[in-house]
Amino acid sequence: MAIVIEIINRSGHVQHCQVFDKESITIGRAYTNDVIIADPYIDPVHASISIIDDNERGFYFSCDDLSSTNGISDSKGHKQAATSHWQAGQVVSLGKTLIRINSTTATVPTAVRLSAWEQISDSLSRARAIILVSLCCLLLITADTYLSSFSVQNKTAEYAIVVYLLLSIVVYAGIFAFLGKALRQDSRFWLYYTLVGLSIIFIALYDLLADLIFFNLNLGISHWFDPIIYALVIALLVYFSIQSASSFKVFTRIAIASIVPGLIIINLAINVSRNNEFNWRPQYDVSAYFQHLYFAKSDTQQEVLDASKALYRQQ
Amino acid sequence: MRLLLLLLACLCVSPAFSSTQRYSTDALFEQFSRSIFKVRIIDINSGSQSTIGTGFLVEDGSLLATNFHVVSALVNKPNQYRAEIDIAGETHTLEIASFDVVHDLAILQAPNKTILGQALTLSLEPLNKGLTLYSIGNPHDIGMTVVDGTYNGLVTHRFIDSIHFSGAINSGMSGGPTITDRGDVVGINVASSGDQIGFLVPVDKLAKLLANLENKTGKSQTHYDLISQQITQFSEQAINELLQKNWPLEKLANTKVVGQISDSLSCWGDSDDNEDTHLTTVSKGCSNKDYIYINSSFTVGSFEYEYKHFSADSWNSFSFYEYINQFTANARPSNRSHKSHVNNYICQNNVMAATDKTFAKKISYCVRSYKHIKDLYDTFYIATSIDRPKEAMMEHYTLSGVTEASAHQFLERFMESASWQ
Repeated sequence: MAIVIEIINRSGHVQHCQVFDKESITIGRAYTNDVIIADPYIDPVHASISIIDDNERGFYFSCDDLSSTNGISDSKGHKQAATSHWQAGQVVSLGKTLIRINSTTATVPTAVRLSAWEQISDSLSRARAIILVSLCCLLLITADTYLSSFSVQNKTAEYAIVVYLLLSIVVYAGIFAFLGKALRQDSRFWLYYTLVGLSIIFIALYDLLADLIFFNLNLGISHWFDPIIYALVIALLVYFSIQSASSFKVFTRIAIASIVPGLIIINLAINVSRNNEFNWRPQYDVSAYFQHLYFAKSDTQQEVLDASKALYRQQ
Repeated sequence: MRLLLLLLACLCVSPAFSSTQRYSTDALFEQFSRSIFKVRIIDINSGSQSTIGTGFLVEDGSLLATNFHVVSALVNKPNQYRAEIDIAGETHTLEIASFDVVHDLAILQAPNKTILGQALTLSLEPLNKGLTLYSIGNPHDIGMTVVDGTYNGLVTHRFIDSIHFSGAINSGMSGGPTITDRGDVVGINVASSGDQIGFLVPVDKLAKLLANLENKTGKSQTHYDLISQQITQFSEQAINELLQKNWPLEKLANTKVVGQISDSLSCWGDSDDNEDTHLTTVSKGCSNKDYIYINSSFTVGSFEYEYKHFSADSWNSFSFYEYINQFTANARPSNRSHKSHVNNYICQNNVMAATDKTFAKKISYCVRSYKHIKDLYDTFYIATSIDRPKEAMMEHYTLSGVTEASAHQFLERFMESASWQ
């Protein structure tokens, strides 16, 4: 039987793992130790760990604190006596470093199957996807600039819009890449890049076409629906970005991903509750499009007139 | 913009009374002091005056005529305000006997119908333009003042008759009489738009109100019911006048639109050809200059319609309509309104197919009702043609203080009146 020492981070991810084929090892900063940890809060020879095979208790680990400055704690931070006993798989804290003590006889779970999400992530990180999303974003933003403000004469302003868009995508991807690098040793910059790019494309298309779609599907005015769509897209984007960048638990991911959408939804709820507040300007649907874009059946003059009678009754 | 005297805040020194009088100045002031009084609206909670105006005695001397807008606080918040006049050091509290909200007149009386002084006589004889008249009132609470000016006939482009008086009418003179050199009342001071442009209510409206006062049966009707009845009568008559006329069609760029329907409306036009954007716009519109004052935050009785033609040959149709959407996004009603008096607009949006009379259009039609005044509405209509890719027509109207029947008839007529040429 041999001792296995795993150095783990706070989220439980193994950062370093080593097997020692002997009964007892020492841990510390000094190069004479079996396990050398460059943590300034650890003494040169901090502790020794022995594996003890007891007929009655089975095997366990005995940890001797070698008069260290900061001592040995369990995973919850409780200081341990000079000699403490540990079961295989328990986490011990030395200085600011977490180590898990194990033996080679411990069973290791089978591999987690690659999820569809991982496959999608890989596809999204490929050059093809990156270039395609980048081009679509550029095209859409340029089209949107021209379509919504045809009279804009200022070319610098148009370039600035494109540059700002690209910069914001890069900054977003950079933040999650940094998170990923720090927590998972995996930056995945291009995955976040394509994710945020796809979100922007979706939002831009929605903005351009929402009024038309809502009218044609006879859903009324889209104003109330807009914040819900934005909140949903942001929630999904942040959720998947966190999933790929960190090893947070599901609930933590949901909590973080729902902060901004939550604010949007709260704002919407406040607006809905104020729906009856006085507005001296009529809240009519301002959109009009060339008739070829209307697929729903047009009303006749008589239908418009008949429908209008209900307006006098509603109040 | 025409402002009610009550709201007018400019300081103005009144010209001295002309010496070319039949009466001596002393005699005139002596007579006025028994007939014309400062009307004070007292805020009961603070015990101080919140509004001042002028009033004069009519009929047997028990009735005081003034403007509705001077006493509107009593109508809207009867528990918070009372009206008072001082006669020879004695304060009399008056109550509303009747009013004509459309012509901005009110009749007050003491609760026991006390004779308050000497009544002025009303003159219903026609006047000649250029005649000198004398307007009396208490401008800015500086004391009873006489102002001379010229009679200029009735104001045009209005449904509600109003005399144009070239004289310095100021805030506080509201409700005071304008008299001839014989001392007969020919008009009641009501408003000013500054620069010696004053407005008077023709005295026949007061005579009619006084005549109806005698016929008035019981007091079951609330003030708001009376307001509703009077505005209904006014707006039905005005809208009927518009509907009965032949609506003249005029050319506006590539379209035929409704021109000036009635002399009671005033019309204007404008065009713009932007060389940078290659967008051409031409617009035309008409409106009346009337408004009925209900209180400082609520007026009704304004009607307006306008057309705007857009064309931009070098644009794509999507951006063209996007531009029009932005342009038409901020249309608003023309009357003053406050949440304590009106409900929210309720709107419907339709795409209407082209008919043999008019183009295919996207129509938004909105209606709001009033909180206290029954069966009257503000209506708002805006439509954009959608059957041409790079050319569009926006048509819009607002009617305020109209009945459902009037509003419906106007909508039916208006929506099919403009067309491509």
